[in-house]
Amino acid sequence: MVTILVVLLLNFLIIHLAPGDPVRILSGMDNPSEEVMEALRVKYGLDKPLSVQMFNYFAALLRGDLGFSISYNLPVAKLISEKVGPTLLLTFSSAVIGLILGASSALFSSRRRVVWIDTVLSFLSYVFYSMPSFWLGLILILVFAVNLHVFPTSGIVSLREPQIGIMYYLDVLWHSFLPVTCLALINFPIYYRITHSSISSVLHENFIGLFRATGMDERKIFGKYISRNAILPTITIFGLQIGYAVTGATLVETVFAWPGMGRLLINAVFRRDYPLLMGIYLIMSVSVAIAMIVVDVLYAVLDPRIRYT
Amino acid sequence: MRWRRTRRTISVVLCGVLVFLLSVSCAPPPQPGQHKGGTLIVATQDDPLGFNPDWRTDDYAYPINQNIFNKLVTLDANYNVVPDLATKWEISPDGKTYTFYLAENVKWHDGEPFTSADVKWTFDTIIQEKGNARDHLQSVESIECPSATTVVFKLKRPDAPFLGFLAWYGTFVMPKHIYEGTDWTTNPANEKPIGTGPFKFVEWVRGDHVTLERNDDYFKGSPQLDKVIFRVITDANTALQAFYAGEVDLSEVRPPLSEIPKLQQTEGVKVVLRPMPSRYYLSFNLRKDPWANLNVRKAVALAINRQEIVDKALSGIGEPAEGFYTPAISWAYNDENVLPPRDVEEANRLLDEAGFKLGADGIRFKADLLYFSGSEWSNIATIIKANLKEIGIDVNLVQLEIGAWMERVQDNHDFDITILNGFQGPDPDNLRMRVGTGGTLELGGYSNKDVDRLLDEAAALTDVEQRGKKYKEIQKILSEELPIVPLAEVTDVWVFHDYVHGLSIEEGLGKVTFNDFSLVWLEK
Amino acid sequence: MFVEKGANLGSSNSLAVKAGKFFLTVSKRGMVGAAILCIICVVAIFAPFVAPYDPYVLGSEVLQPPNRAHLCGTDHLGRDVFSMLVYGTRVSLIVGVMAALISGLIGTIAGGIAGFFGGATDRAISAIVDVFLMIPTFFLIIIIVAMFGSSFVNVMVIIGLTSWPSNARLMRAQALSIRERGFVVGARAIGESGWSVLFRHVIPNGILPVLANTIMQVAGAILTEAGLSFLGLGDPNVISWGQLVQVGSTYLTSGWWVSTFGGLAVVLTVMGFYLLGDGISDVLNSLSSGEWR
Repeated sequence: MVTILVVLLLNFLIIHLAPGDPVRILSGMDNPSEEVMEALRVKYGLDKPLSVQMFNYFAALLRGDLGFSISYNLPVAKLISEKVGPTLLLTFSSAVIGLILGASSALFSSRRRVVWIDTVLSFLSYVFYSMPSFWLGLILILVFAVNLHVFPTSGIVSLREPQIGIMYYLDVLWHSFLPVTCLALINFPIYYRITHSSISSVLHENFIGLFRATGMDERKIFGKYISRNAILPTITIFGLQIGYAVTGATLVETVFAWPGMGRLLINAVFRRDYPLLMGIYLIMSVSVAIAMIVVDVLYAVLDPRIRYT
Repeated sequence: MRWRRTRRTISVVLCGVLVFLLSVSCAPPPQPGQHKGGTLIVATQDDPLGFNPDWRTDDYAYPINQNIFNKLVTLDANYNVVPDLATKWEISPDGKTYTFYLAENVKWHDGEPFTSADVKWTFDTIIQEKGNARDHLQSVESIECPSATTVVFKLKRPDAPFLGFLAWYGTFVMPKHIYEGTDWTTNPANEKPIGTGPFKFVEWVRGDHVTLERNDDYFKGSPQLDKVIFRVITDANTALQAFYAGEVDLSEVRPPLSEIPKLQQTEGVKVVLRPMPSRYYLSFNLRKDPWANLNVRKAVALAINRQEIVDKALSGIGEPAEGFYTPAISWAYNDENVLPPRDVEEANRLLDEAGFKLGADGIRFKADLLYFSGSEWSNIATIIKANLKEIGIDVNLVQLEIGAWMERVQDNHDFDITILNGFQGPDPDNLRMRVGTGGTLELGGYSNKDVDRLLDEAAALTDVEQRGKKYKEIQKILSEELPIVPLAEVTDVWVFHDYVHGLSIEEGLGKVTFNDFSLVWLEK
Repeated sequence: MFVEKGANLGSSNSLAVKAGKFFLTVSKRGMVGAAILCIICVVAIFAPFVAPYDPYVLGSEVLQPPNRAHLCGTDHLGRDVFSMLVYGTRVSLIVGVMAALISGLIGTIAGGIAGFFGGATDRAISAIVDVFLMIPTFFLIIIIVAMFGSSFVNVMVIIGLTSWPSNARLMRAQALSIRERGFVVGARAIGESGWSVLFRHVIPNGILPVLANTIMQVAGAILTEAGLSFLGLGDPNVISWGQLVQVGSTYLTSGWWVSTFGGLAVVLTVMGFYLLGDGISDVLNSLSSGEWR
């Protein structure tokens, strides 16, 4: 799609036009001589004019080559593939859990219509919606890891006694509990709100009134019509969130020392690692684009009222 | 209807489980563990850039390299030169020939024998390819290998600091048979290093950890530990929590200094504070107005509250700086020409005299203070800002990460004042870098012919007392000209659990260098 | 006049008062939000009177837990946390409001033009909006701030410049529907210029949803600033809540109050904006659901 190309172009321009010379950092703290810097520049193709660099980059992209990271001395694609897994683990799990928590609590409270439940859930959703994710992470670490010793403080695996087989998966699960909880709590209000509001709007639709007038059982109305219609926007949002999943949860990854894409990006920014930055950004933008398309298609499939001409 | 909903829920959950399993399998594969000897887990603040130990500055690789590689001679934890690959050495009376006798039966981790040819290749390459230590090897004329276990360095002129710098940074001996004929910046050994050291490289999972295992054939004797794992934890607070929780044995992530008292009181935790020959100091940009004016610099020196910096920014760890070199290298330290005590009134008077009147808002002029990211730096900067406000200087804090700082300060000289610290050893010739004309860390454009002359004279002498006199003379000049304002002495902080024995600062004194864990054993 | 089912609007006649009461009765949460924000605004304006100490002064009592002299304790440099919270309201409000204002202004104008004039302009603007919505903006902000400097003004402007597309989308949708309305068509018929119609009729009538969204963006901007400060990309010369959380995180176990109160201030203020934003949406919903026609 044209938009993806534009995004790429923008990426390239912003990153390259910003002040800061990656070669400077590469060469270390002492004053590198101009020859050393020049040699490094030639090596990474940074000495050519911007347009040539851009052309080279796109050409390489078509071959599937995402470039070579200046600071890590590895192909960008390899770096990203190593880090994507942990990030996806975090963001997918928390998105799913957030969805389940949020949607079901909204459905539940709409169904039961008990005022105080609604108020409490509403209040909780506002509180978590307003909470900085890193702050919540810090509090969780403080309470559950440091004071109660229930979970580890950071990392993705226990290094002292590395596990194998099924124990390995359990080890990862144990390490992921706090960060996933943190993100899930931050995400749950999103799903709660969207589900809640779409239920409200469906409730006002005429056909619901019609069904009630014909004496249909309330449970059936709720189960068959209200929730299915209300769930559509929620799924849409979920799809978009998944698209953003690759963007990672940078702040949470920092607090929990989680080896994912977010930290990779931060390092790339501080080291002015252009190829790495562009590679990460590309992946992110592409995944969001794909998610949007998928969501559009899904919506069309699920909602018979929408047809694209 | 309900069934359809349930089915959807089930499929969502199944998808979730599938995704979970898929993403978990992308995480690094596990290593089976051995328990004889134990594993030392060290927290480190960031990923190394690679494992070529001599090419470029790579602070986070340095502790790891100290276990994979050896140098000819090395510094122990008291900054004394001790033998490493060279068991003894001789310096000719004219100071121009250094003969090193190498240990016998040393093998590289891949089984190849180590010889003097490796040493020659390493240093020739550092000089030729402009590796990190090249500046300190400028006096080298030639390197010869009269035998497989002897190396001779011939110098162009006597160079007293030579041995010290050889023991310091960027001088690890690298395997000729692996690197010869290749580009040492891209050789795959940079990611799977081969050295002669007490531990062999096992794996590097970027951003997460580096694993080393025992080298049973280590020439100084096999280490006790089975493995050493360097775990990357960038956030100092997270590293501290991991340490408390017992997930880390030794933390090389400098803890927030405010946590030190609590650490000292914790059962089973050892905190060792050692003075380091390093200090925090402020540097003026003499190229920019008004910093060329000595009275302005004097005023700043009078206004800064060094005690407050130590008490608050450094949590009482360390001492306020008094003199113009590090007291840790005592033979060269001038304790007479020191900074004057704090005097805000006098500072204000000096500025008034210099013609900088107080505006209605209490400000005389503005200044940009550039500093690195890190809580110590921002604390020191904040205190300086508050101090200078009292004499009417409005400080604008500019926090930069290291790359941007290097560019603005070192390359473009675009700053008013900046703060930094740095190792001042192993020899006072280090001053050349910081206050000598054109020194790599001479940031402000300071140039004094007498200082330069004294530096050269001192480097040519061999008698410690005579050299000391010259360096004290330099400090006297610095105290009068104030191109820099020393702030506080840096303290090295070691935090580890008390079941860790054999560290360089304890049983390893005189034997191993700082992060060499060859003598470490765990009492568990 | 607006009449809500069964609501007692009292005897006062002024439109503003009626609108205010209407607002309050329709949306309880809007009321709560408005109340919170009133308090915050008052604190911000009267900061020098509310704060017991100068927040920049480094006192001698370092890392004190909350006590009588220091309601929220002191930080590691001896600054009074409560005073820092008070002055922090100014920073957060300015950053949030200015960023949202920039975003709202650009978004409204761009969206209005796109929706009202249509055609190629619409396609161009919509394309730009789509591109922006695809870019993970938080990272763009990180990159730009890290490279161009983390001053207060920079942060504000950058957040504003990256969040206008959502407002544009909303305004465009509004413009599309409003331009078909009777009074707009009429105005065009009598020869009023397109631009005049846009700014005098279309935008003011379609502004409410955009307003609601912009208010939510204030909240988002405050959270973004906190995140940037936490990553070390905030402005070190001003005292912001995000900075408090970051600073306090380095000694969380020995001085929990710094991070905790800093974070709580963020939560409270952000919540206020979200509630207010939702309140305006509530008003919109009840207006459009035909209860006053």
